[in-house]
Amino acid sequence: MNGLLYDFTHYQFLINAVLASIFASIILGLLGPLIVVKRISSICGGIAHSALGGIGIAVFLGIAPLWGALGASIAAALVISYTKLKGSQHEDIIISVIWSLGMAIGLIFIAMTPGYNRNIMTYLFGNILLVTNSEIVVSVVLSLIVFAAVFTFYRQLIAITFDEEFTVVRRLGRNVYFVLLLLMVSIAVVMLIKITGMILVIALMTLPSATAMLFVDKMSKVMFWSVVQSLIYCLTGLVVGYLLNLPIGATIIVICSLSYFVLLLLKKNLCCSGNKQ
Amino acid sequence: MNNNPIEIRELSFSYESIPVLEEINLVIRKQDFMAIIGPNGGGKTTLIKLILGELEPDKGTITVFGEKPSKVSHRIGYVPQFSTFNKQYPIRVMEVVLSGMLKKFSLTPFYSHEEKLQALEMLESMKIQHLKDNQVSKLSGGQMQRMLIARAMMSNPEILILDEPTASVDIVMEQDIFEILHQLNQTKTIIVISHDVAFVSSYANKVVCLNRNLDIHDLKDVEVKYPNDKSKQTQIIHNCHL
Repeated sequence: MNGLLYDFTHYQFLINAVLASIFASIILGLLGPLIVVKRISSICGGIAHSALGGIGIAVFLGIAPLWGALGASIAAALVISYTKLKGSQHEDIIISVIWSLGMAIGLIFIAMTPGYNRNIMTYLFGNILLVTNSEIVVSVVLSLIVFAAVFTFYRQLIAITFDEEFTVVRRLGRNVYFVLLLLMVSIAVVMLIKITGMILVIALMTLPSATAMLFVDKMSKVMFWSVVQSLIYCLTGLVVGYLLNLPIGATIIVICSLSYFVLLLLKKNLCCSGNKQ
Repeated sequence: MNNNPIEIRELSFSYESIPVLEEINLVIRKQDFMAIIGPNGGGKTTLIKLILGELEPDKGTITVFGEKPSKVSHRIGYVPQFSTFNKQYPIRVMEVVLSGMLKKFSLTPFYSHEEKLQALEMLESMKIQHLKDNQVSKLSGGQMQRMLIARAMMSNPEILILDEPTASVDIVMEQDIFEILHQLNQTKTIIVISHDVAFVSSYANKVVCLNRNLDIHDLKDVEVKYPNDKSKQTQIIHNCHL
């Protein structure tokens, strides 16, 4: 145990992993509930997978992959917003296309890049132990931006996720806030690529919020408990994965999913006994 | 300059070349209680969307308070069919009602003390103040409808439009909701989309039958024509459905 504490306070890569978990949890906890209630997890999946396209292009051009991922996921968010807000019947297809096309472009550019690219697995499945100092700085900035936006426009974001039609009629800026929500999702995706990778990111975006929603009835509380849970899952996953030498992103997802199912069963039993009165 | 809240002249509208509304002429006067009935796909919701300025007519004009609808939609309260939102949403009644006062931009995530007091008053007048801390999923159909009416009334609108307010409530609740609307009608103009001809005919002063074309029945005219024949009156309204 002391050895573990020593490792996590003395090795920079472990300190960075803890810091990355903290900032990612804040973003996940704030955005996850909005994604779950608005039922847009497939949109988020599309945005997440499109990031590989940006990463591929960035690797090919010799730019930091993080910026490529950010650019591609923002572009995907804008295209999906446009399709969705125009009420196009092709929304579903557009999301699927962005999902696969993003990955395809990424794979092609990575293949075209000279040299041996062992990094691709890192983007697909994450590796929290490889988070660099500069990525921590970017994480801090991005999570502050998301926190400020969610705090300031909390009521408007609630309104559009609760009853979109009402916000259209009341001219509450439905389009503006929908685009804002998807842009924040893009930011979240970029921050999470290093932790869980783009393939596993959806689970971590939705499960803590879905779990919190089983027990509390107010969005601000759901957000608070989602942050707490994300943090618990990320840190437990980190420690367990580190000790047992397992892939950490995958470990986090397994813990998070198990916890969801256990709590779901628990809630079902509690609620049924409660209903008998 | 006239004072009619809503005037529709020669209005036509189609979705991708499928005509939905044709040559609609309709004047809604102050404090009218107008019911729109008609078959599904007859254009009821489309007409409402045109009045709210969400859609633009292909032909003809529509004015609300003498202006373009999209400019004055903040003066209309709208109660959607509640099947359109997620009933499992973690939100409480009070918060939903408060959202009726929400502005497009604001720099604080909180409602003011005055706004909260106003919302409480509104909940009281809808007789659901005891439910203010309930999550929306815990409400019955009738309570949900009262909450939505309260939300729409928060902006103190001059016209209140309701889309099938009694679609999923029992008959007692239905009566209840029409009573509330009757009360509100003392000061507001009310437009209701409804399937229930029986209720509509005892509360509304105008019944509009919409099936691409519009057929208007001023209930007073019907009553004058057939003063003692309630069944004839109802029959005329029933014919609307054909």
